[in-house]
This record gives sequence, C-alpha cells and structure tokens, in this order.
Amino acid sequence: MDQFIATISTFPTAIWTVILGVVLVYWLASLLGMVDDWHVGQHTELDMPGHGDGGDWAAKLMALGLGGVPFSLVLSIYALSGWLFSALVQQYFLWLPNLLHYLLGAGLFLVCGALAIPCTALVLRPLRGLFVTHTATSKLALVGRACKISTMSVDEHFGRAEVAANGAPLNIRVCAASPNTLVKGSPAVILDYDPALDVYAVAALEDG
Amino acid sequence: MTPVLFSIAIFGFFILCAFLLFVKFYNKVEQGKAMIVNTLRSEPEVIFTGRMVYPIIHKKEMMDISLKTIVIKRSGNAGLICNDNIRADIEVTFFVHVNKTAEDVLRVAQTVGCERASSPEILEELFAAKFAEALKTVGKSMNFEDLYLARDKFRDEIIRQIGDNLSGYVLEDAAIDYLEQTPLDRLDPNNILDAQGIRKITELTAIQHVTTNELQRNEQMQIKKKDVETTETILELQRQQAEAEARQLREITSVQAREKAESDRVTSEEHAKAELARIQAEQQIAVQQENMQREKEVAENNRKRAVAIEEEKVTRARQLEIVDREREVALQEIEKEKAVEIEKKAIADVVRERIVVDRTVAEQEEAIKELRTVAEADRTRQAIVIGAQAQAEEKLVLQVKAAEADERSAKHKAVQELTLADAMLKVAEKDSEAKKREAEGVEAMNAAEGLAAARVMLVQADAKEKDGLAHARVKIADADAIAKLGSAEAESLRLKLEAEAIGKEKLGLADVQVKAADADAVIRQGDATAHALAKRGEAEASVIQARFAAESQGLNDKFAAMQAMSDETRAHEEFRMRLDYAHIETMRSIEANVNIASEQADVLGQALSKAKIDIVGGEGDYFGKFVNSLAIGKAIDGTIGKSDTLQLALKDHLAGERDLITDAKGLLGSLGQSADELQSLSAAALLHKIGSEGTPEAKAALRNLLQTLGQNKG
Repeated sequence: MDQFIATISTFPTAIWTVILGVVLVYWLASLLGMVDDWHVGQHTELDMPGHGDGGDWAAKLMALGLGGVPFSLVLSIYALSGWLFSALVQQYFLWLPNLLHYLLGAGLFLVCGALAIPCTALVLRPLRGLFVTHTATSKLALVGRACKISTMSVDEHFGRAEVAANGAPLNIRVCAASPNTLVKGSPAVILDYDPALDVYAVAALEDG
Repeated sequence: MTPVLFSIAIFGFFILCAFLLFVKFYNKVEQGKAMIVNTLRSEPEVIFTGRMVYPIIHKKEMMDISLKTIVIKRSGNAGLICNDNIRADIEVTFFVHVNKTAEDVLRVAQTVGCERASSPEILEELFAAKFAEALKTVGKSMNFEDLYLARDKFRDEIIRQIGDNLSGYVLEDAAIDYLEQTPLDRLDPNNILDAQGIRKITELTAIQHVTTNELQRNEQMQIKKKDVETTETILELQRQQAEAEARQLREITSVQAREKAESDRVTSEEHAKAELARIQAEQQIAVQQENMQREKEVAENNRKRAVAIEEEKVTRARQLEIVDREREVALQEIEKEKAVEIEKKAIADVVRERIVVDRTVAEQEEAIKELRTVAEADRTRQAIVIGAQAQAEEKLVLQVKAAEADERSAKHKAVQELTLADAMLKVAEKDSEAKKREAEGVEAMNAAEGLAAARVMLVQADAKEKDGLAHARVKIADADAIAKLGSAEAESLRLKLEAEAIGKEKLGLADVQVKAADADAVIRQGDATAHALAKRGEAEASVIQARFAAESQGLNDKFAAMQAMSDETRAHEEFRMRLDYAHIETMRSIEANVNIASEQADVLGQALSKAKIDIVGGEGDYFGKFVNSLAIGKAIDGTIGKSDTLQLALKDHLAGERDLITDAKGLLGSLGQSADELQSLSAAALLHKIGSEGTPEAKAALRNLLQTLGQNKG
C-alpha cells in the first residue's frame, strides 16, 4: 500500500492521478446534483467542450473512435486507463536514480497517453449505443422523393402535395410549370426545394 | 496489483455513473409531440424519439404537433355574403398541424412558441382573423348553392387565400360543418347587399310559393276525390256485406231447423230405445231378483241342513271323544296294572337271577374241584405216559443205534472193498487195454475168456442179489402187517375205553382210567412199531449183506483177474493213479487259493469303495499291494474263465440273468425262516400231538427227528 501511494504520487503517474482526481470530483458533483434533481443554478457544472459539436474537434474524436458518447465519459475512461498503465509500469522504476527516473518517466507518460486512446475506444464501443439520438429530417432531404398532389390543380404559384412519411404524411407546398397534367391524387416527384419561398418544384411522375 | 484493483473499482464507478446519467437524463418523446433541445450549437435540435438531455448545458422544450381544429362561425347579420348576395350562416372547421420536419417545427417554435403552440385557444386567436378573411373572400367568389356542391373548390380557394402565412403551420383541410341561408328576418333591408339578397330570395321564394300552392291545391283536390271514391267503394262493400250476412243467416236458420228436426227425430228414437232398454232391464232385474230370492232360500235351507249336520257331527264327535277317553282311561289302567306286573316279574327275575348266580357259583366251585381232580389225574397220567414213552424210546433208540452202527460198518466195509475192487478193475482194464495193444488176437481172446467168466459171475451175483431182495421184501411186508395189526388192536381197545369213558364222563376218575388205557395202548403201539422196525432193519441188513457178498464175489474175481497183470503195468497204473491224485491235490490247493484270493479281493474292493484313498507309504507298499490285488482279480477271472465247473455254476450270474447277492440273501432268508418255524414248535406239544392222534407218516417223521437228535448227541 505504501508502495502504491508512492507510485501514484511520483512524477509520471502523479499527472494522471491529478486528472483522474478532477474527473472523480466532477462525477461526485454530478451525482450530488442528480440527487438534488438538478435545480438550475444550484451548483456549478464543469463547462465541457461540445458533445459531438460540429467541426474539427468532434471529427477528430470520431476518427479516434471516441465519438458518440458524452465527452465527460470519454475523458474519464481516458484518464483511468492512462493512470492504470502508468501506475502498473512505474512500480518497477521506483529504485532508479533521479535523472534517469525523470527521463524514463517522461517517456512513460507519453507512451501511456498514446496507449490510453485505443483502450478508451475499446471500452466505449459498447456504451455508444446508449447515447444515439435520431434528429428530425430536414426539408431538403425530401428532394427526389415521390409525393401525391392534394389540390385540384398545380401551377407556378399554387399547389399542395403530401409526402408519405412513416406516420403522418408531410403536407408541403409545391409548384409546377403551368400546363401540366397534375390533378388531385396524381403522383409526382419532387425536383427541387427553394428554402426562401419554402416551396418544392414537382413534376408529374410518369406511370411506372 | 493494487492499481489494477483501484482502476477496476473506479471503472465500475464510472459505469455506474454513466448508467445513472442515462436513466436520469434520457428523455423520451411521446408521439404527436416534438422535443426541441437547445444544445451549445447554433441551431437547436428537433427530436421526435428520445435524447440525452444534460442539465445546465441543454434546454429542453416540448411542443404539441398534433392536428388542431379551428372553428369559424359566421351567422345572422354577420353571415357570409355569397357571390349572389345571399347571406349564409356558416360554420367552418379548419384543420392545421405541423409537418414533422425540423424547419417547420423550429419555425412554429420561434414564431408561436412551444407552450402557445400546444393550446388550441391561442391558435384560434392567432388564425381566426386570417381564416375569417379568407372565408369572406372565398364566399364572395362562390354562389350559395356552390358552397354545397363544390367542396373541393372551396377548400382549394381557402388554401390559396391563406397561402403559407400560417407561421409554420399547414392547413390540412377545411370542412363546412354548418351551412344555412340566413333567415329573412335577420337580414337588414337597408343594406345594399342584403336588399339584393332579399329581392333574390323573394323572387325565388315567390315562384316557389306559387308552385308550392298549386301543388298543395292539387294535392287537396286529389285527396278529396280519392276520399269520395273510397266512400263509394266502402258503401258498396258494406251493402254486399249485409246481403251476404242476410243470406248467411237464412241458410244458417234453415240448416239449423233441418238439423233440429233431425236431432228431434233421433232424440225420440233414442228415447224409445232407451225406454225399451230400461223396461227390459227392469224385467231382467225383477227376474234376477226372483232368482236371487229363490237362490237365497235354497242357500238358507242348505245352510240350515249343513248346520244341523254339523251339529250332529259335533255331538257324534263329542260322544266319540268321550268313548275314546273312557277307553283310553281303561287301557291306561290296564297298562298301569301290566307295568306293575312287569315290575313284579322283574323283581322275581332278579331274585331268580340271584338264585342262578348262586347256582353258577356253586357249579363253578364244583367245576373247580372237578378240574383239580382231573388235572391231578391228568398229571399222573402224563407222568406215566411220558415214563412209558421214555422207556420205549430208550429201547427203540438203543436198537436203532445198534442197527445203524451195524449198517454203517457194513457200508464202510462195502465202500472200502468197492473202491479196492474199482481200482483193481481199472488196473485190470488198463492192463487189458495194454495187452490188447501189445498183442492183438490172443490177449483179446484171453481177456474175452476172463471177461466171460466175470460176466457169468456177475449174472450169478445179480440173481443172488435179486433173490435176497425178494426175501427181504417178504420180511418187510410181514413186519408191516404185524405193526398194522398191533396198531389196529390198540386203536380198537382205545376206542372201546374211550366209549366207556364217555359213559362215565360225569365221574372224574373215569378219564384217568381212559388216559391210563390210552397210555397202555401207546406203549403197546410203540412196542409194536419198535418190533417192526427191528424186523425191517434186520431184513435190510440181510439184503445189503447179500448184495455186498455178491459184489465182493465180483471183486474177488476181478482181483483174481488183476493178479494176472504184469508188474510193469501195475507200476504204470500205480504211477498213473499217483499222478491223478497229485493232479487232484494241486487243483484243490489252487481252488483253495482262489477262494482265499477272491475273498481278499472282495474285502479289498469293499474297503476301496468305502475308503478315501490316501496314498501313503513312500516305499511303494501301497502300489505293490494294489497291483497284487489286481493280479488276484485277474486270477479269479481267469479261473472262472478256464474252469468248466465254475462256468456252469455261475452261468446265469455271468450272463447277468441272476444276481449273486440276491441268491445269497434268499438262501440265508430261507434258512432263517426254517429256523423260526422250528423254534415255534414246542417239543412237548409235538410229542403229545403225535402220540395222541398222529398218522403213521407223522410218527415216521418223529422217528427221524429223534434219530437226528441222537446223531447230534453222538
């Protein structure tokens, strides 16, 4: 036990120990907060970088296999694995003289940091399913899909159609070049979307 | 190892925390609702399923995106003015909803607000004006009746009017719920549009009214006409009905009268029949009653007669019973007397029996006395008889013995001489044979001469012998006659005395005399028999003497013939005889050995069959003995095989037809039985029996027995 304490409080592992300590404190705090039912503003929360926020950061995390879960969890596992490797290896360096010890320690720190990334990815893989979210479809995604005209006629300015979704159909505003065969109930295909007017350009779908 | 344990603990803690986070912060969205989450990004997320929502850094809002209805009512003087200036009371329901797209939901959220979007009242506030305006516009463009007919056009027009100015909402449908022309009294005649409307309505309605009135009058007229026709028809029908009813009534009455007459007739007939039947019945009843009366009287008389008879019977029975009783009484009295007499007789019997008993006692006493005297006399008689018998037997035995001794000596002598003669005869035979072989003719002739002489001698001897035998037979016959005479005499005397004894049987002493006489007779008889035997023995002896004399004569001749033999032939003969004797001797010794050996073998065989053989004795004793015994067995077999006598003797046993052991058993058993029989005979009784009532054969047997006893003593 004494040896263990000595190990985690000397040079390379001490850094991991500090990081791990911070993470543990964060989790304890969040636990307390959970018990308190999260009355907003009652206690401070660590400000974390965005959870899978768009941009470079998230992309890099995804590339490393660390995406899809809260960043707090990623950091926690990373800190834990780095600390574990460092502590395990450092037990055998304690007898070394100072200079050599520091040199080896620096090397060990870097190696552990590198080794902890794939380990963390491995651990997080099964947890990723818990944190999947399905966001709503955007209007642009309807382009190319078939629809059914719901007005008597369609012209350049007026017309509505229904796009079949899983549940309730989407009621969209459509327009088409004026002499057309579109009547109520006729199938059409969505060709284009104009976000400014919120209108879709449709064309009659040939039979087939 | 410690860091690993620590890290495991910490990892577990993290996982626990992550699960708690998930449980706590995962928000699920109901159908018909959308969740808008403000993350740290520029645009909020719209979710229809579920998402982790972290407090502080996220803001969650729920919005109802389900179908909403907005109802627009216009009635009275605010009614909808149509294209033909007719006001209509209308109630239109508009259906609005939010498309399930992120843009639409966000637009609604930003323009209306999530909270407000969920409440229909606020939506109505928001859109009522727009819808009302669109409704007016559309209404003014369509005729009143077209509103009913062209629903699709109406809806399209409304949508076209409203356009997309519903801040994210979409107009799904517009349905006319209630549509009526506004009543005339609600219209304002001073209003231009209303006035036009009134005029049009009046025009239309007047025309309609006239037409209506005409139609109504026509209707009335037709109704009236129909009524009159109906009445006529009904009256006609009533008349017909009445007529039919009258006719029906008439027919019914006629039929009824007819039926009544018929029924009356039938009734009277039936009545007559009934009366007739009744009268007949009464008559029969009267007759039956008379009969009954008669029968009753007859029965009564019968009853009386029967009663009288019964009474007579009763009296007779009673009297009979009385007579019976008296007779019974008398009989019982007689019976009683008889019983008394019987008892008296029994008493007399008892007395008599006692007397008889006394008498028998006396008789028995007398008998005892008599028996004593008789027994005593018997004893004396028997003593005397036995004494006499003993004397007679003694004499007899002495004589017999003397005769036998003589006979035996004579026999032995005869045998001796016979054997000598045999031997000599054989010598002579051999000699003669030798002589025959040496010298054929002369010697044969000499021998023939000798032989002829011998034969003559033999014939002479035979004749003499026969002569002697005849003589002996004559003497034997004489002796027999004498014996028979004696016995007859004795028998007659005995019978006579017995007859006398029977006459004097009541006297005890007579028996004694008879017995004494008996004894005398026996003694005489014994004497006679002894005499006869002596005579016979003498005769036999003389016969034997004669025979032996003849034989000795023959032998003398033979020896004389043998004298003529040469020394060599005698020596040869003697040698041959010696050889024969030696041969016999060796054979006997062999036989004795064989018997010994066979017995030993039997013993050994039994011992071997019963014993467990323990091969002991290291010097081969046992084996040697065993082999010896086997050799003995072989010797026995050989002997039996080679000896003709034994083969003959044991032929059946060898062939397996008889069993040696059972034969031996039979032999022994028969011996035992005969011994038993001998034992069972009492000597005294035998003697007495044979002495008193023995046949001659029995007496001869007794003699033989006594002889054997004598021999055993000797």
